[in-house]
Amino acid sequence: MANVDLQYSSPEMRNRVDRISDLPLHVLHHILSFLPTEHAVRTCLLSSYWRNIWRFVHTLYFDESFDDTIEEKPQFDFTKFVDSVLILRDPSHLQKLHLNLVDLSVGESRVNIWIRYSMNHNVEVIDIVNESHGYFDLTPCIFTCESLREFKLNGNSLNLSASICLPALKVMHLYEVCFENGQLGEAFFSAIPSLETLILEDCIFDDYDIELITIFACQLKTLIMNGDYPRSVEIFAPVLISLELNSDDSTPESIRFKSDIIHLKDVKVSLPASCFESIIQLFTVLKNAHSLALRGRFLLSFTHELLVAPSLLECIQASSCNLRWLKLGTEFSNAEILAINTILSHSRQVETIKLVNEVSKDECGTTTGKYFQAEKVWLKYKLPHLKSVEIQDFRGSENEMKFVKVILENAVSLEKLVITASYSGSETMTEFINRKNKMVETGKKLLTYERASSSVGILFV
Amino acid sequence: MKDSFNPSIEPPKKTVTLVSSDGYDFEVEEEVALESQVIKDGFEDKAVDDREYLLFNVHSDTLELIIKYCEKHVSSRKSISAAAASSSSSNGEEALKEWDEHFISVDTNTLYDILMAADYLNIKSLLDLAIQKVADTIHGRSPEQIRKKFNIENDSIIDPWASE
Repeated sequence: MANVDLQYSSPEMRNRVDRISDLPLHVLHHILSFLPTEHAVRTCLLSSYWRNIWRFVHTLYFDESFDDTIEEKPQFDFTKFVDSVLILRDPSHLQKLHLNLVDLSVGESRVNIWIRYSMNHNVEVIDIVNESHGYFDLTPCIFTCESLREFKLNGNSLNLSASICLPALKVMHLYEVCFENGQLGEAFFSAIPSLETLILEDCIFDDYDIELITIFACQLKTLIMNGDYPRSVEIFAPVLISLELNSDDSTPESIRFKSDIIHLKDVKVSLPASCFESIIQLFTVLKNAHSLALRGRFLLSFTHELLVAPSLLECIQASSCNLRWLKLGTEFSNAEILAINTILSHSRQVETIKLVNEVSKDECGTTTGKYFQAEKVWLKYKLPHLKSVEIQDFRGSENEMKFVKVILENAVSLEKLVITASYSGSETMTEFINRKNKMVETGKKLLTYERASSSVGILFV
Repeated sequence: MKDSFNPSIEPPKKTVTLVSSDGYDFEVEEEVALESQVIKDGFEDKAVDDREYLLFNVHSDTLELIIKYCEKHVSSRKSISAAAASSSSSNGEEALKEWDEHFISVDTNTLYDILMAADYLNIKSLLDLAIQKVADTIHGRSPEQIRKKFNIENDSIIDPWASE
């Protein structure tokens, strides 16, 4: 206690005391577990007290690309280093194994031995990044790891032929993973019954060779699919809360929901509307969503479907009673303006709307022919709950201006109107500045419009 | 299943007294004190009028910071779940992260004090935050630089790697 008093006695004194070595050992183990294992091991050089502390880290983070610029060591032997650490570390609980492989000179059998070591020590999180250009055969026994809670794989294929049993797995994050036909199906998902989060990012489905994946997960709460898609996707996930589906180039032919999703709140879909059976079906599934982001010609499909199936309107009305936040991609054509108008007039609870101008940048300024007579399509209605409106990539076209005008006239409790223009790579800086200046001009005009809400702030970014 | 969060029903605020090692009383709301797993664990067994905790290992300067942290996290957790119930446009989590970053940007001694207190009171998120900060300081430094930074005296006679 006297020692402690001394430490507190004067700030200068405190600054000269080695307080880190006084921390409880379990805290020091914890600190070193937050470091790449190379750095953790190096603390053995600090003093005799520190020699063995690193052995108790519960997280191992091995990075083959580790570039040690501080020490002058002739050559860093990654394999030898990992082997030594695994031999010398305290063999108690291992929580996380992170492997970052740059080239496969280590050899897949060695990597698989390390993985098996971690499984024998009840590892909970495995995170493997393969940055080399080839795939290695990941030991199939990884799919029988009973303690595994979280599995992340980046840049490899999966060998799913053997038996799978992952009772504790809650999170699976696959990035640039190459799949074969039939791998992701009901059988696979039934072997991981606790799965709550599934993220498939830029996975490779070999140019449509893969017909179908079936996501069949009774406990799934979050599903994110970004990048590539197989030809069709079936989703059975009755307790899903958050859904994100985005594609860049490849567009699936169909996405089908095989169950009702009652608790779904958050939806971000950036896919052509054509991959859903119908907009009606889509809205039926998303009926409880609080937030919805739809892009990629969704509004045009909406208009087309409205012509053939007027019941779509009732469906929208029924399904949008929870909708508070809406983001839509649009080219501000007349048809789309009409669609936005229809959706807004049937979704009275919406508080925030964001519109992203999707007119391709090259067409910028030459699109006047597309826009005319926007007033004719506007219905008059009040928007009692609308608080915030944002238009991204504003171009200042006539229809955009008219849209803003109608919003300002009808949104009685609008608090915020944000208009942004972003710099695109295809234009020169002067062009961008010109566009920006034009926007400011437009902005001045906007300020003269009549406003229904007294407290609205208008912002140009 | 019903939504567990309901902003309209709020029970009357109950408070708990925390006493620092140098004898100062801090009265905080119950839910703020319950951020500490140690307090939470024995909480139900304690009589309602006896909810006073003597924190022998936490100085008043540190306790003030700890309370500030817990209050912030309790309140932003509420606003994040309220935002999630109405819309998802909230960037509450990011804002909180920024706040945390700013909160933990303190001098080394204060950082240790926070770390020790978070460990003692078992406040996991704060402990992780403080530990990450210390780990960041070690990261990328040579042993000599680390010794200097943390005033560690090198008493090793043999450098175990020197012979290689």
